[in-house]
Amino acid sequence: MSRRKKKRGPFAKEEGDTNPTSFNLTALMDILSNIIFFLMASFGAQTLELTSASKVTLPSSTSEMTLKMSISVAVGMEEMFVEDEPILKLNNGELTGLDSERFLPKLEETLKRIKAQRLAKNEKPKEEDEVVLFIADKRLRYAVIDRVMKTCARVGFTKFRYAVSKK
Amino acid sequence: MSGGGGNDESTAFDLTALMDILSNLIFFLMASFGAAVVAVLPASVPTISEGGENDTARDMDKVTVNLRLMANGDTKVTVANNDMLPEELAPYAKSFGGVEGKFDRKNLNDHLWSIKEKFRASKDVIIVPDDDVTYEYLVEAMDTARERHMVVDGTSVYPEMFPAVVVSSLVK
Repeated sequence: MSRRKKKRGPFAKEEGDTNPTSFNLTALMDILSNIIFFLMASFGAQTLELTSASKVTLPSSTSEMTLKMSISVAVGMEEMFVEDEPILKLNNGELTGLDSERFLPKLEETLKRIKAQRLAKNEKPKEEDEVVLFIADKRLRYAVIDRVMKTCARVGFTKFRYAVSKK
Repeated sequence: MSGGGGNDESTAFDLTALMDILSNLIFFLMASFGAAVVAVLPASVPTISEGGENDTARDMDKVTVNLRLMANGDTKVTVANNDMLPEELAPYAKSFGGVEGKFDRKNLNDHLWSIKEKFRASKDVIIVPDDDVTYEYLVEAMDTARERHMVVDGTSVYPEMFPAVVVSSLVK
């Protein structure tokens, strides 16, 4: 008696085989890995530490320049932060309880400390260490922004990168 | 040495668990990617140079543009060059009235482009906003001065105008 052999597909089960059908997922894995690498690379470049600045509404711009991390100064309508460290309170976007002609002493002190810490870590100062990433609410008046920027300049930070949301 | 003894079957890995992890990661990353589209705009503040010299343009194909922003939307453009006479630069000075509290973006951009066409090596603009000008308004002015939108052969191009921005304030 001749035994007829049944034709089988590549994923067909053996007779009495209890294992589930297995698919060849290698190609799909390759695609997914590529997408993940791309997304992770973009994510690293684009993510902004907005924990402190979560209440900040960024102005929109047509700029295409990508974000580079540096010392961040975030000014919201209620509070100001340097590197996530709260510096002072604002009253609906206005600086209160400060001499109108003076710079911002707490900001100056904090920036000096951060600068000294960074210089101590790096033998050669990097470009990023001399630029301030300025995260400010779009409703703020220039008078407030000017005082913050001038205080930064007093410490040696004369270059800024304004964080904006892409249009 | 173990060689499989003529077994042609390849080892099959169960990649299902890994697929689950990767799929979750992709959804998370895609969600975050869409939410964090942040760019930057470079700017600086004026500084005192050691020699006491200013950075105003000197070459004949270069000027420094001064852009004054008023809170009511009015704007005023002047140009400066250390080696040119004020009479030579006077034709490039122009004021624009605000429209409903906003500045006349189109005419300002047109005028800055005409300056750029005349002085091709120019890159610097000094923006001087009023105290009551909002940060959003300042960023909009920087965009207007930075580039121009043109359509060449059906394709949009964005030639650069004045990307080097110095933000200053009036001496009080």
